[in-house]
Amino acid sequence: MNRHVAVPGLLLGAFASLPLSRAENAATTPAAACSTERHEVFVPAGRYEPFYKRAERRVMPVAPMCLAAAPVTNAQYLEFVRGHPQWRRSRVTRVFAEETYLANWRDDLTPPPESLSEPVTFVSWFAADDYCESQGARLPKVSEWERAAGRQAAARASTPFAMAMGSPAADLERTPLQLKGIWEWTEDFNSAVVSGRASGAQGTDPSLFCGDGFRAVDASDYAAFLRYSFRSSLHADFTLKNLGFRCTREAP
Amino acid sequence: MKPFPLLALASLCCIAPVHGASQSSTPVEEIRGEERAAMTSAPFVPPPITRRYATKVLLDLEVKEHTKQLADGVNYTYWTFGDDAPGKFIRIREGDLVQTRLSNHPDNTVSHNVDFHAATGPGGGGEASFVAPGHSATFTWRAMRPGLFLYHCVAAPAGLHLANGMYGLILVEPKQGLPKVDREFFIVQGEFYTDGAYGEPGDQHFDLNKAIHEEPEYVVFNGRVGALMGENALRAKTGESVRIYLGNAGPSLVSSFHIVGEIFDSVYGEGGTVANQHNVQTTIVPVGGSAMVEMVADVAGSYQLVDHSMFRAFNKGAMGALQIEGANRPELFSGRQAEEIFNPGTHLQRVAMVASTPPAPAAPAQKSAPGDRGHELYSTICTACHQPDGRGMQGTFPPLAQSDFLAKDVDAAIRVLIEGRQGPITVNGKAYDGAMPNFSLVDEDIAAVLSYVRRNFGNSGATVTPADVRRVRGLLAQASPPPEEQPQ
Repeated sequence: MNRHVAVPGLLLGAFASLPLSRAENAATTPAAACSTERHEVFVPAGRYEPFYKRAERRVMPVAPMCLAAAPVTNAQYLEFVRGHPQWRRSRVTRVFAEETYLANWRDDLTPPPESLSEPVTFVSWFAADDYCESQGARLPKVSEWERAAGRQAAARASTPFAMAMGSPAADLERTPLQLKGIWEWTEDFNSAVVSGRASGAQGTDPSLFCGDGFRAVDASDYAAFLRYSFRSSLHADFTLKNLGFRCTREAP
Repeated sequence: MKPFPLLALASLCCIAPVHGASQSSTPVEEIRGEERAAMTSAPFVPPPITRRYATKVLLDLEVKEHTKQLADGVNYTYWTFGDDAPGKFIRIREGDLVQTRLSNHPDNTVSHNVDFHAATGPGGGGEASFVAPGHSATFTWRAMRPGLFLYHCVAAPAGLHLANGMYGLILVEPKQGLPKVDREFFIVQGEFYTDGAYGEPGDQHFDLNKAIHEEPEYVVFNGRVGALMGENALRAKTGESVRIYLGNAGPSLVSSFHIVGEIFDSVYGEGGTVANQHNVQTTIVPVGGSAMVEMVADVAGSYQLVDHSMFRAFNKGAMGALQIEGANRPELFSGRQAEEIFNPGTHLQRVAMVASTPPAPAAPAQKSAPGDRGHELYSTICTACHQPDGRGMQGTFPPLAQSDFLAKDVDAAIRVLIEGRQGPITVNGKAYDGAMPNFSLVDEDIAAVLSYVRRNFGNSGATVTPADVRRVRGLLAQASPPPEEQPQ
């Protein structure tokens, strides 16, 4: 915004006390760059340590992002399938979503009425990926999701199961980041699986079973074990009762 | 000239032994036909295998995560193969080819798999069967070795899956079968790590801290407190041979399995195929392992099954029962033959009795004077079962606190202390079915301890005198003649 407006000199003094321009605002309060209408939470730069270490422990930086405060709801997903008919249940390509796609919806355009503001589930990775793209966003990577919602100290609590579905990082405790008791898709959900899938069903990393205690960064983080184990059992076309998603985008 | 060496060479080749099949690979039997796997729920096992060939066995296991009762009033979300922990007992034959389909119910929350200790192959099937909710996976394995084996989930974190109940037993009979017995049962010992203390009612959850420190609240047979007690006790008749297939799913504690009053004629140590020890009182069952014990039911009566680590039996639920019915064998075991006063005229010195530990907030303070004989007796004899605060143990030992049994009929209470008590009893609306020993107390002591109990633990009742006890003894003597005169 151009402040060098031609005004009478008398008023210039008054204008001199105007607040800084919007661009300068964003530089000092980065959180404002995330959209409150889209219910995003600003996640500052952070770190991620892969739960299963390779040769040595590594800590990776995670860039700041605008992460959806809550998983995508049935209502939001309904809008998406209205505008993207290829994702309606009766028309979906089977290779992109298995038979139980939107199994709890009454029909193509009728989610369960009592769950409109609840997370959408029975959606595949392909569907989630497409949804996020339609919003100008993407699925979070495992590193990003874990940085935001995989808090380890809480996981050492006595009942890991409640924590397995997420616990906000300490610096996000006061944000409206919500975890809704479902698993969530990530962009690279099978990154923990080293050897990839093979038709002989020998594809999962053998050390994910009994040997995993050695390779895990923290063998008392049972919540993380559950999360990583669950991710490694997924295929991109799976549509499960307690698996939903949220989107993220880089903070501008 | 030239052909000769060639001929010689050729004959050498023919004479020389063929360096062919490796001696180290196990030969496999030919498979004939196919059948569904024989499986039964605890504590019973399928009948012995009769076929003399290896077959293809079709095995379907479904994993369920659901809430069940761990103890009276205590709920826990079990993860089970089939409906219960332990999963069904599977009985197959050496050489069988087992086509296994593992299905993960769509309502389940986590991924599961199965590791058969009887299978030889990576993960015992763990990788091949790893499957998300709403899906199933199939793989096939050959039962190359006979024995009694555990099967269990080994998805990460494996300890949690075991601690939630995902285990069972599979018996691979040797080709020639096992010696015939009259009765067969199976028992799997396992632990539960709940956030609440033993017996605390309501919904309980897995406690990671207790698990990592190997301090379970529950150590139980066949998945819950009382699974082998009361009407669920194992039963046999005198003269019958009994084999018990034992498993220990842990996940932490080795079991010292003992049947009170019995001796195992044979033990197949660690669930192998050789009866490698005889005349054993207590056998070890390793975690993730098994054992088989055989005995003959000689003497009728009630026999407690325990993990001989005694606080597990008394305080954590590692107790079951075997009822042996039949004629008495007084030439083997007489039962009580005589009872008399014993007063040697000497006196014994003891450390001064300390007041019992402060009771739970709900229980009223115990009223006892220094040197109170009733209090002394209670602390010495009664607390082991009825607990210092008189609350007993859920499903096993009735409470004395605010007991309707004590309030109703003082003579019945005196009788219990004179004779001991066996069989069903209902106290404060709950049924119990156990055995209380006869402590052979003299009348003065019975009066003292009963008076003590009746004026404490929230009870209210008049003092019992030695004369009351003598009166009840008299009534009992009239009702049945003294032991010497009974036909034996």
